[in-house]
Amino acid sequence: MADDILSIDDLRLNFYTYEGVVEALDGVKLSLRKGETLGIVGETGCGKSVTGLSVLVIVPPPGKIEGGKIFLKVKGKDIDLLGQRQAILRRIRGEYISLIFQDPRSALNPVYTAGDQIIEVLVHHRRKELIRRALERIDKEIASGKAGFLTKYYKKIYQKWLESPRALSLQILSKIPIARRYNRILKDEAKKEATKMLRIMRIPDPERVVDMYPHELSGGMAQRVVIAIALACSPEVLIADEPTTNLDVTVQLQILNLIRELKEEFSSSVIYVTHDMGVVAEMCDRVAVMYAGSVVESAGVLDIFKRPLHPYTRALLESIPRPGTPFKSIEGTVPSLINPPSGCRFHNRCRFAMDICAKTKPEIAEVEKDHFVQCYLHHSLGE
Amino acid sequence: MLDEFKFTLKRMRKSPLSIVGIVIVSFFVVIAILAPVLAPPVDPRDPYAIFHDGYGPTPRPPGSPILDSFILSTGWKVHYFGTAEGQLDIYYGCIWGARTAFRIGVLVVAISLVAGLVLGSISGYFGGVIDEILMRFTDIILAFPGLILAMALVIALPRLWPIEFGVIGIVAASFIVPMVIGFFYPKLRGKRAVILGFAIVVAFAIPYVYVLGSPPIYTIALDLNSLDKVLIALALVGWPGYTRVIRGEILRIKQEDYVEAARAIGASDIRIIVRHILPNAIYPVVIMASLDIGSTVLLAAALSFLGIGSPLGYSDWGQMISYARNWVWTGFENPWQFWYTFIIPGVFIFIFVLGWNLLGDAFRDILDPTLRRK
Amino acid sequence: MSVLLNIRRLRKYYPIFGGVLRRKLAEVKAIDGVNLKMYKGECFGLVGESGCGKTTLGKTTIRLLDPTAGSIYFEAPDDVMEEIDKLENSNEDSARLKELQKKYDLAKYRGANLRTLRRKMQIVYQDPTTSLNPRMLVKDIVSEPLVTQGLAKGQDRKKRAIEILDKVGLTEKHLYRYPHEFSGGQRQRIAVARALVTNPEFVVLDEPTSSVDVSMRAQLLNLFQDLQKDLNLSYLFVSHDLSVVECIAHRVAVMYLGKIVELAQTEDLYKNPLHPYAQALLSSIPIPDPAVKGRRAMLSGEVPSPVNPPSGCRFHARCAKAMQICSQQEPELIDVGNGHMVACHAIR
Repeated sequence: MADDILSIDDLRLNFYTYEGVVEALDGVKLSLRKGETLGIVGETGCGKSVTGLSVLVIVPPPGKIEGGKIFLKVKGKDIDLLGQRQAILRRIRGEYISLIFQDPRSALNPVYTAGDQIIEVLVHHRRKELIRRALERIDKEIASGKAGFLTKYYKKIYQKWLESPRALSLQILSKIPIARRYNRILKDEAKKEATKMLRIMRIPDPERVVDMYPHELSGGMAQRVVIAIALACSPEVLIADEPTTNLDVTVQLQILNLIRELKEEFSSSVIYVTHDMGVVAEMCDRVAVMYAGSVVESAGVLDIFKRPLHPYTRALLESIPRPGTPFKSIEGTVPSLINPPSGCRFHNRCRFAMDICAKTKPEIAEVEKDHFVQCYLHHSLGE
Repeated sequence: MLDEFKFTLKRMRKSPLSIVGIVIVSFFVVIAILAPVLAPPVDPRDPYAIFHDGYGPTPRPPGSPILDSFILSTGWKVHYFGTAEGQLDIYYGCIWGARTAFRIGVLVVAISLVAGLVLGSISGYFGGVIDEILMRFTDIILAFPGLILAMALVIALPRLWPIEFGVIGIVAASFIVPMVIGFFYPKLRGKRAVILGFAIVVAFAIPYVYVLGSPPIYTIALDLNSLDKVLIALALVGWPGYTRVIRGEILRIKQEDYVEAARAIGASDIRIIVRHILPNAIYPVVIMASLDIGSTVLLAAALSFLGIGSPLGYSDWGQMISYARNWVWTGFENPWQFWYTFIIPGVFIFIFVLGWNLLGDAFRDILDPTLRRK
Repeated sequence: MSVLLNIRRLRKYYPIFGGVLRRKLAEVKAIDGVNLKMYKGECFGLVGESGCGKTTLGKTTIRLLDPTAGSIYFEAPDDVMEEIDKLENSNEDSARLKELQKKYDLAKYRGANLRTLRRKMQIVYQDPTTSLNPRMLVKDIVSEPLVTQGLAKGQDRKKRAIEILDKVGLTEKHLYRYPHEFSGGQRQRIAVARALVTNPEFVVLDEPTSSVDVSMRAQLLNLFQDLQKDLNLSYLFVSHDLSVVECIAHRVAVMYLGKIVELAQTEDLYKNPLHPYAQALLSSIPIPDPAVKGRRAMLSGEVPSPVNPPSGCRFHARCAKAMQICSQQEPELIDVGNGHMVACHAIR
């Protein structure tokens, strides 16, 4: 589609464990349009988190991507992330795509301050900009006449750094203990930028928080720091992997509002992975429902809630406990993906299962405007 | 249970090194069991004494025939691996040395393990002052280099060790009697039972003294073989390690929900330790133990090499290498002509320790809970 | 309905030790003066955010934690409670009071009494993966309470285990398996079976559905309701998930920083919350209906630390309706009609 900024096509992923091969993702097909929030909903084991990790190509072993393509629109061109070299992927991560993790405490390195971790991202991706700002500052100092005698040397160093960042002389200089003080100006500029990021995250008193360690931060603050790290370089795509699951419900509301506002400010597109249908209704424009490794239904959020087509989606919505009505659950349990059920993976729990459902897996097809389903109830084979 | 076992076997099969480890250890077990068959003892009262045909100082190469007078009386014909200094048969020493190695390794590790389990559990579970004292104690022992401390202990332990049997008896009685009382009269458990038990034992001792004129103390003298001294010394050096490891594991597991759940259903402390904590804490210790068997044998060999291990002529691999001290390098012509005196026992030690190490690695890979259910 | 538990002035403080000499530096006031009545046969919901003390309250009620002060009267008949009230108010040091407390006050139980108490009060933990011993067979896990309480032997034990597994929807063939062979929902059922095997009267459910998938939650909630009717149980349902509590609890209490700020019948509370914190809490539940969007966050900042709670009303620093008196005097929990109790100066 034309305005897709990210599209995943037939993604297959396996985990090679001691107990067998876990077929975690079995042909995932998704697309994210520019400026929208796409929700990926599913229960434990459906593969939603792993899909998020695959987009960044950071699936840990024993996981291995077995096939498919992930297209990202960079500067107008579509590139396949799965075929890129590590060097290019490293530039894309953080700058074009960012990830917000589920547990802020474990996403932050406990031995570095919050500021240091944001600075790390800034220095990696926005170095030129920071060097230019450092030069401006040096120039201002010289102009105002308050320059120390080292300032002229600093200016030369920074100019060299701007033109040839990998110069040998700079590399040597950066290793010598006292001489490498020139780095400080850059770090200062980066720290100012980091403090600015924290202020954008609506953290009160950001100058103090910048120097705090993760264990001194509360859950909500830590999550804001993680979001700050993710948005530091204004990525095009933001993947949020259940960022509010471990937070209190009042803090969750704050963070959800924050993400919504920041999405506008930074004009990112967001993929929001969650298992909470309430959050989906709050945040998302479009929703993709996943079950046992593939997307079973994807549509606009109103359509998903008002006219769910796939039996799993319907059962999921019915099983949300409501007071006064009897509780309905889905029969059976999520199948083990080591020997997944044949055909449609939901067929042994589906009320409407037909013979063909056990034999071949249905394709995902657009049965209504912008409403995709993977089910034989709604389209026959080959449609 | 069966499933667990099958899973363990499957994992073992996938790792070839672990199979090698198992094969090696089984090989040595077989040798040790069949020692009387493979190397019939010459002196049935003391099978561990290596026989020697003659007293000549120069070792003879493998394949040398045994002197005639000797063959008639014992049934041996050839020195399969040659002889060491003093004409001690190397083959005999190596085969019976397998038994010695197992004795040293398994006994020492078993004692250290049990002591470590008990003390570590008490220390880790109850904490407080007991924990502090025990940990300082282990710190003291661990502060000494193991080999040096073992040497010092071996030398310091007396050969004849008189143990005041009576004192031990009184101490034991003051534990056993309360337990028996507590068993039959549940109301009297705990402190009351201990005091009552102690009172009974003292009450028993007083008329005894009155009648016989002396307290009921018997002295037995333990005649310690120097190998026994090595065993005791190594056990004394080894137990702090196990204590610390167990204590660490217990501290970790103590906080798990299922331990609190056990308290919520009214389980006693002992039950919690034995039934809930230890089965989960045992893994690092099992791995440590199997690796330790190998290193204990090496340590004992080192002590033998230094001359304070097993007695002269004992079938112990380390001893045999010690004997080969003067014959390792003999001049520029034909320097390694007596290689068999130290290489052969050395190979035995090497493969034995290697087998246990591989087994320990195999256990670690298999029993690692994080790798199990991914 | 008869009163099962009568909690008075319950406090639980955790000391923080520090310094070289390990002196007590401060106290974490996890529960700071809670008064509560729970009736037989009801499901009492306890909600709040992290740090409010709800789990501590649940565990202290069944004496898994020892209270620092206060009383928990269990199954005390009304006339006994009246007598205790009189004796407490009279401020004398009465031997009769002590005698009554020794019998009815759980906070004073020790030793054998405490062990017998475990039969009547049980707990189901949040995460079934860590609350079941991974090295024990299901058979042993479920029958362990019978062993420690000395309630059954040999074949009886096995029979009872099968009986209780049947009640939670598992079968005999599950007896000889390990917990890791089951799914999350099934493990939680095993935990429930373990809690019910001694026929308790009171069960604390500590966030039992939080670690379970959404589609399984309904099954567990059905199970809890059925068991409550079947075995005449009383529940204390602790949760931070307000939508689940709305479905299963008869009455709900909202806790903030160690104190109860509002308590009412479920319907009353959810339709008409009076305390500002309760209002903020209830308005932040995400509603699974896309037509309803864009609720404003009514609360800023986060829950302060329970080590140094704010003076007066603990919520005053974040409260939109705070008045002068709120920072000086703690509000009492007052009944404003129909059993709906609020602790707020702004509600009169």
